[in-house]
Amino acid sequence: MRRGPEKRALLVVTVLLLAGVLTGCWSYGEPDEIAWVQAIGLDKGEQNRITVTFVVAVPKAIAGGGGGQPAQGGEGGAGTFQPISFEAETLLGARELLNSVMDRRVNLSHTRWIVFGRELAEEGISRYLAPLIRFREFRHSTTVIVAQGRAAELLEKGQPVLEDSASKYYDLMARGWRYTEFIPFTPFHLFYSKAKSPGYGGGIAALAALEKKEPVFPNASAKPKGVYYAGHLPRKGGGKIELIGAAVFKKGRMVGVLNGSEVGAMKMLSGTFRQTVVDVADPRSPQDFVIVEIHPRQPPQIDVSLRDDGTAEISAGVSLEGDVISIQSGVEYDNPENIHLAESLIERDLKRKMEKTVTKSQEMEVDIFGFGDHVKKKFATWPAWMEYNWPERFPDAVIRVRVDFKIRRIGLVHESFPVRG
Amino acid sequence: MFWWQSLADFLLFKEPQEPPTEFVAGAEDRQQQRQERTEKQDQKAGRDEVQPDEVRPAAQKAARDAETRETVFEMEASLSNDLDQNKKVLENVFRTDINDDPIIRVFTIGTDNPVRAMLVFYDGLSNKTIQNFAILQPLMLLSGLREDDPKRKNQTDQKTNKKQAEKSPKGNSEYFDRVKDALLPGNQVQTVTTYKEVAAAVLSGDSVLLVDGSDRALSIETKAWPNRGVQRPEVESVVRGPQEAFTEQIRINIALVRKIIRKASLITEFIKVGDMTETQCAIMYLDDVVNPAIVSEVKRRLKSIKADYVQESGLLENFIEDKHYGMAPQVLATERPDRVAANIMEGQVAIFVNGNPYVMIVPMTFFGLIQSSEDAYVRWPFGSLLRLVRWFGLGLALFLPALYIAVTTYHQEFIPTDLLLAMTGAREKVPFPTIIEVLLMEVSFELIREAGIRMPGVVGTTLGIIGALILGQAAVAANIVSPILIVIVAVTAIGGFTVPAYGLGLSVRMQRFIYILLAAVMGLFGIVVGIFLHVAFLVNLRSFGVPYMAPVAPTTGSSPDYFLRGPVWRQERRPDYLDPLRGRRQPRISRGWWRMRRKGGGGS
Amino acid sequence: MTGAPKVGVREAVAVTIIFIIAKLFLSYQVHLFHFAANAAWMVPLIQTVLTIGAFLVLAWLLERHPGKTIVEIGEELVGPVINTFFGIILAVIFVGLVGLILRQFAERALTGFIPDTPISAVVLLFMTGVVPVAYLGFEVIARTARVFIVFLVLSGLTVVVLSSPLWEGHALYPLWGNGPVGLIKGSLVASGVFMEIFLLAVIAPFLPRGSLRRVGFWSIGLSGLFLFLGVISVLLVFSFPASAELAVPFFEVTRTISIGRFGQRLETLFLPMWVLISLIKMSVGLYLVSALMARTLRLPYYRPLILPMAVLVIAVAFIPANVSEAINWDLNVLRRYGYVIVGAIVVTLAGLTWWRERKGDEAHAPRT
Repeated sequence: MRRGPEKRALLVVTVLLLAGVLTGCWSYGEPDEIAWVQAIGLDKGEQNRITVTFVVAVPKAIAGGGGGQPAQGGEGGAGTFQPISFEAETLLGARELLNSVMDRRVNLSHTRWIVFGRELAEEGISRYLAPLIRFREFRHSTTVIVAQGRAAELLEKGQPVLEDSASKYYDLMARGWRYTEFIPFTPFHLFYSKAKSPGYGGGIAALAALEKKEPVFPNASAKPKGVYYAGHLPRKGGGKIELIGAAVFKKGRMVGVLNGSEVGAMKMLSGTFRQTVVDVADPRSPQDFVIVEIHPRQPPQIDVSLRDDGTAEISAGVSLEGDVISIQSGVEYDNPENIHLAESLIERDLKRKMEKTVTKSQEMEVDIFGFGDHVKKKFATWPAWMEYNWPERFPDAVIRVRVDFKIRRIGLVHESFPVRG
Repeated sequence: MFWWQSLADFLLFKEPQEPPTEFVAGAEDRQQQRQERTEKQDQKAGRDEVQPDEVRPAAQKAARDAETRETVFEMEASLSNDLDQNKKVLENVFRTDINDDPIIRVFTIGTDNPVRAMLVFYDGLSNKTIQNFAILQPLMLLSGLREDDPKRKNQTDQKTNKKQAEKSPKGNSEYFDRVKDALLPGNQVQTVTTYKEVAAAVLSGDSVLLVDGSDRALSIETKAWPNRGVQRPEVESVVRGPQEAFTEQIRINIALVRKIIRKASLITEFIKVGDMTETQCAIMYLDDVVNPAIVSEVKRRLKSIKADYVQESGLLENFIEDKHYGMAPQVLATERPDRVAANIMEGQVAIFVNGNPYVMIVPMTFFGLIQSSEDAYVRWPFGSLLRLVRWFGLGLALFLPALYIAVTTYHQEFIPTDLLLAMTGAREKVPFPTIIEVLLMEVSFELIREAGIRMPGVVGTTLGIIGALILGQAAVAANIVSPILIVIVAVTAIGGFTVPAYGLGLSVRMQRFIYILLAAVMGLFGIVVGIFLHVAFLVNLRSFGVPYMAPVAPTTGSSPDYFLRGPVWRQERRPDYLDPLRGRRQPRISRGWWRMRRKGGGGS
Repeated sequence: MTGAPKVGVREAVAVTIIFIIAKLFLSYQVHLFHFAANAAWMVPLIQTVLTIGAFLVLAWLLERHPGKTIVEIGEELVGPVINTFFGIILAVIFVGLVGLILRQFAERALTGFIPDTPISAVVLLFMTGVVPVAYLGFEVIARTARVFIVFLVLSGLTVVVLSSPLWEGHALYPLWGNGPVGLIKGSLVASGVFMEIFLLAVIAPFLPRGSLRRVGFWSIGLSGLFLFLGVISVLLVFSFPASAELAVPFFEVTRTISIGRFGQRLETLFLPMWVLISLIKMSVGLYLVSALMARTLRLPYYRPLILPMAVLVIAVAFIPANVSEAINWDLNVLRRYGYVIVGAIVVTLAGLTWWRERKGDEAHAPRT
């Protein structure tokens, strides 16, 4: 009988596949035989170089075959996750140690947060970032966070309130950058590429902290809401973790902190701003506030010119628009003739905030806005740009900020009348 | 061996050396012979032990009978002039001694010069009314009525003289012609000349009239097989479109197609297939459209088949398909006349098999198997949507369980964390690995499905309840499988039911298990390597010389009707890969009114 | 399988494109970032133009000798001895190429998707797919490529589109990268990326008459476009210095894509694209070396050579001690010098043809 080519091909396939089947299944791993790490914390070590904290999910509590237990406060008790800390030399070394504690095989591919303790951050974190880019299990969207205080404590006590799953809690917390100005957008891949880019010369990480027990401010004077940063929010109740403000890195070392409004200004200037609410004291009635919700109208317009001595002159134009959501004073800003008054009020306020932030960044000598990415357009080749050495020149750059704000909507009230009687 | 030589001599009208007594089988020893026959069969079974010498004379006789019959067919022996001789041979052929179905009715044709004749038919296969009133009555009673013409009468007197007939080599052929031309009012009458033809005609329900003195016989159409009427299609049902399906009767089936395509160029060719019993097959095509090479290839394959028994279109499919190891069906079996008509119009060939409500269409491509006639009957965006749904269903049926295994056990990073944790939590109490879980559920589902087809309809609801309970609740409650897997298996099953061609559905069911194994061994990698090989084998496949994956690979011109369904006014060309004689189906502007309206009513 | 395979224009274009751009899913871009910094996206465009020039020479040569492959042309022009030498050199180069590609793909599969699997098993699995398909012949390979290219292009474009929210336009500046000199140098040194266009020299007899140029231009043009997209999307997502660090940049792009909370770590979604393109590439490569060897050794069939060649390819795949060495050999040795050798052979043959035509027919006549 003539054997056709297909038949022979099939024979080869069958033999090889059998070989595969008989010996295969190397990477096979049941999901219920794997310990899913949801967050990693890195601190300066107490008994070794670093302390590594892993938050391991407890799936049976989350899926809740018989009604999952809600997360409980306290020392990482019988909740939906299990924090474990190790003293180790390296992060991945600690992962090996974790395997000797967990019955399930440890897997880092679902890590949502990587948290650095402030002390370690100030010492420098670049050597701990290396495994994140090289090791296959890490995901690039992991949020980079700096904890005021120790990361281990933050992760142990940071129990979710609304969620069963810690990873959802972490995820949604970090997603706040989409609708508030106080949280920066710091996924790992961005942090990494900015840390490497000479257009920035530094990176930004979100700042997190546990709730502060003692009063933060001694008196009850009026303070804008953006002056706070994590760990200094005067509040009672809610989850333990606060996420507001940002840690500024230069050459892998944390050099400073931005508060809430500075993060907002930074986001407006660098183009990651999405939405926020601004309250400005009404000059005609200083006790009252005009409150608007603002959105970006178009990406920031950044024009650069170089002086003869190489100093960069940067003019940053930020275009915003928004809706009036409250006018406490009753001044008729909703009248078309007066709208421009409200607009200029907001413009002045935002401009002041941005200028303050720019000054602060120049003092810290870190270009957190990515102005360098626009300056480099003035150069023809990469070597010339490297020679210019932007991180060194940034503090001397002349930066002007222009804000253009337009009110588009005035909410559900067409015109307001003063309160009488 | 001299006895069969003498038989041959006899059948070839040589002078017989001795009377062929072997033919006569006495009715009195019918019972005895039957016994001997069974004994003979027993002996045949144990042939090794039994010596030929021990065979008893009666058994020898039966064996000789059998060989005689074979010889009659092998030599295609012609009929004899002698009615008695014919009767003897036919009685032997039809085993009238033991078989009660064949009827041999001897009578006399009532012409002035009475001639003996014989009507042979099978009881039950033929129509009694036609026989009584259209054959026997005219011949026996009315045949004299037209003999007024003296001239003719004289002629007849002369020719029907039996002795004269024996002298002339032609026999009384003119009398035979007169019976055929003038006396028999049957609508289809054919002349047959050999025993083999007589037997074939009788077996298909016709009545054969033999006239003494003639070596020809008349096969009169009296078929009255029991058959189903035209009913609704049960497998390929559509919402919009004709609601009639083929039946078991080939003539009805052909008529159903011919009813749709009313063209003189629609050719039906009958081809008999099979050795032991000849199955009547027919091929149907449009003479002025189809590529002649395809027709001759189909005919070549059908005619070359030497098989015992090809009674079903599925069996015939096995005989004519190109590759037997390929899992994909290479012909389309359909029960819808409209679908056959549409494919014939495209330039394909339909193969009808008698006794079978499925008609095969060749050559068939992969894309043809995914289509349903309804795609064309609804408006084209919805036709495309239906087809997309079906592609999706095919994908699910083939890959979903394998993908589930691959993703949950190899590529967990891909699963959204919340879902992963929910799945993990649901699996906590399940003791089996995922692969066992999947196999368990898939096998149970296959069992239920098979049982659902085979079991008596009366207990159908029981199975539904048991199946739903076992597969659904109880398995989960007993922690044998995780609930999410039930969803996977159910969706897979539903996906499988969207595949319109039953043959393709079967192949999908089987290949699903291959992919499951591949996924268990190497994750998505294994699956993709499997897909690669799968597609390569499909591409390598040909159906009657037409590449199976046409018009995609190789890329040939085609109307927009393979992956999705284009608007009907854009179906301008017949598929290139069939290389039809007429490539164009309709002119570029098929909607004449459109241009007219734009010209005429442009102002409005 | 009677008669020579027949391959339509689209199938040929599909298979050639896949043969050329498969390296996009390996470490191809790394190379470019080193030469041209953030102007690496220009390199594929320049290379496309250069390659079209080189292809014109090849096409001219093949069109002068219709119905013949490069091996038979060589035999006619330089005689069997030198031609056998040529053929073996070509086969060696392509065996090396295919072997190194196999190694890199297997290593990437290992690091990326199935980390606990021994590399021999991955290579075996790859060859399970590749050997039967190469065995079935070029017609089947080309048609398989034609079926899959729709899926591959759609997947690839999906990656590019999904990564677009992560793009940073200023990654393109400073516009000229390392300057025009670096750009040209990089383009020339790395021109080996289009070396696979040589495939056409072996499959030319299977193509429809007179369609060689059409196939060549379309393949080179589209390959150039896809390479360009592959480079620029990486550059826009990771910006320059970070993009040069990545070993498998396109893979990292798929890892980085994030569509909300549920669409993350999409590399698994694009794994089929990845594996299919490498399987097709390997099948073509295996067929190419087998056919080259068969024709060089004047054997009537290539099929008996498939298995030995597969063994050879696997052996080559395991020569480099580690993945860095494999990348280095592929990019810095084989492609850099290989395309010079291949080019030299083609130019020699083209030169001889030209010379012979100038000499006129009377000198040519006695030979045949």
